[in-house]
Amino acid sequence: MTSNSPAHPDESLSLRYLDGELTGREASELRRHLDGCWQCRRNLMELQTTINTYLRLREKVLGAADPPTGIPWLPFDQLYPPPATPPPVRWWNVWKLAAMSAALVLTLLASVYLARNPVPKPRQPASPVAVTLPRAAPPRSRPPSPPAPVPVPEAALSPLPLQVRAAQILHELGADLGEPVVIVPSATQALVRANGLDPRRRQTIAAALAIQPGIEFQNIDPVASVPAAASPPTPAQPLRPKLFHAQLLNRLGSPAAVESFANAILDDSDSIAVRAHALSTLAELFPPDARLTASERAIVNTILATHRATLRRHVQSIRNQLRPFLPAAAPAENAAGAAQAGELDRLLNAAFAGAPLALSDPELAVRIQTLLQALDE
Amino acid sequence: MIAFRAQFEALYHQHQTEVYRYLRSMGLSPPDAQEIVQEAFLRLFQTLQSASPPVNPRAWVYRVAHNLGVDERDRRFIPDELPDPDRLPLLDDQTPELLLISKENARRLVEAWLTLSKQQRACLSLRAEGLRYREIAEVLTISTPTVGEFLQRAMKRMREALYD
Repeated sequence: MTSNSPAHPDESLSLRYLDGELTGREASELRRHLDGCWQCRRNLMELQTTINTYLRLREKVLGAADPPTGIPWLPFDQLYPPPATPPPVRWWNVWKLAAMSAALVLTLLASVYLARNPVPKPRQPASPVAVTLPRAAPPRSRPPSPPAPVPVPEAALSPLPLQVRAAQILHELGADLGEPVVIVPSATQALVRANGLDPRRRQTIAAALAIQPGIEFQNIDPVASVPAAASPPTPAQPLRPKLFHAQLLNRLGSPAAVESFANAILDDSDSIAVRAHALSTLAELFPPDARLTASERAIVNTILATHRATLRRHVQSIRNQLRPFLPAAAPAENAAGAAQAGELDRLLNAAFAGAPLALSDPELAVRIQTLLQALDE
Repeated sequence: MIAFRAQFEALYHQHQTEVYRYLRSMGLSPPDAQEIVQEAFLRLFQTLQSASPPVNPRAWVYRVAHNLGVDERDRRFIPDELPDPDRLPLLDDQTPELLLISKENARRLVEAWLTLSKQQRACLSLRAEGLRYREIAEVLTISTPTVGEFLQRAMKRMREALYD
C-alpha cells in the first residue's frame, strides 16, 4: 500500500496502527497513504473516537479507579508474610566461615603488599669470605607500574550470567527484534540501554528487567533534532522499474495483487534482517569461548535456535514465492550473517519497491538467489 | 531482599487497581474482585522468588487473576459483564464529562458490548488497561493474531453502533 495506491487499509490494519502494533515499514506506508486519503483519515478518526467513547463509558460503568467499596485494600505488610527467618547457624560453621574469610583477606593483603613492594634482592655479604651464589637472571627494567588492582575472584565480577538473563528477558518480551534496546557489551556490568522507546514499552521492559537484581537499565531520550538548513532540492532519481513486474502482473492478475505479493516479500525480508541482527548481536555478546555455565549456554543456544528457525522460515517463504523468477543455480557464498541479510533487504527493496540500484535485472536476480541460498544454509 | 520487597510493593501499587478494574469488567463483585487481586499478587510474590520467575510479571498477574476470575464467575453463574443498559446510573448522570457521551450513544455502546463474545470483551478490557497484543495473548493463552482479530471485530461492532 503506497500513497499512489488505490488500496485502502482495512479496519484491522487501522486498529493495529492506532495501537502501535505495526512494523515500522507498515506504519510508514499507512501514514503515506493517509496523507493522501481523506476517506481513510476520517475512518481512522471514527475508530479513535469509538475507542475514546468506550473508555469513558467503561470508566463510569465500572466505577473505574474507584477503590473497592466496603473492604479497604490490605496493607502490603499484612498481605505478605515477612521473609522467613534463616535457619540457626552452627558454631563450627561460623568458625569455618571466619577462617576462610581471614585466609582470603590475608591473601588479598599479601597480593597487594607484594605488588607494591617487590621482594628486595639479597645483598652481597659484607664479609670478605667469598660466597658463590647461583647467578640469577638480570632484573628486567620495568617502567613504574600503577598499583596492582586487588585480585577478586573472577566469578564475582563477571556480568555474563546477568547478561544472559537480560538477553533472555529481552527475547521473551520480543525486545530483541529490531527495537532500539541493546545489551551493552561490557566486561564489568550488565547494562541494557534503550534509546527513544515509547514510555509504555520502556516501562514494560524496565519492569521486567527490574525483577532481576544487578541488571542496570538505562534509557536515553533522543534530543529533539534541530531542523537542518534547507538544502537545495536534488533532482529526483528515476525509480527503477520493478523486477518481474510484468510476469507478476501476468500471473497474479491485478496491480493490487502484485502489490500485496511484493509487500509479503518485503515483510519477510524485514523479519530476516531483524533476526539476522539479533543473531549477530548474540554471537558478539556470547562468543563460543565465553565462560558460560552449561545452563547459561543452553539459554543462549535456545534463543539462537529460535532466531535461526524463524529466519530460515522467512528465507524459505521468499524462496518459494520467487522460485519461478529466480535462476535455478547461483554462485555459492561462504558465510551469511547480518550483512548479507541487510544486502538482501536492500536488493528486494530495489526489486519490489523501486529503490534505485546499479545492477541489471539478471544480475539482481542472481544476487538475490545467492543471498537466499547462503541464508538458508 | 529489602530492595526486592520495595520493587514488588511498587509493582503491587502500580497494577492493583488495573487488575481490579479488569476483574470488575468480568462482572465480579467488588469484594470478590478485590480478593482475587490480592490472591494473584500473593502468588506473584511467591513465584518471583522461585527458580524460574516470570519474565513479564504484569502479564503473569493478569493471567492468574483472569483464571481465578473465570473460576469465580463460573462458580457464581454470573451471566453478563455489564448491567442492563436501561438501568445504568450513567444515563442519569449529568456531569460535564459525561455530556460528551450522549445517552443514545452510551446505550448503543452498551448494547454492542453485550453482543460481544467473552473473549472479545476480555481482549477489549485488557487493551483498555494498556496491555499490548502480545501480553493479552499471554493472559488469555491465545495467539497474537487472534487478539488482533478479536479486537478488530469488537471495535467494528462498537463503531457500527456509534456511526451506522
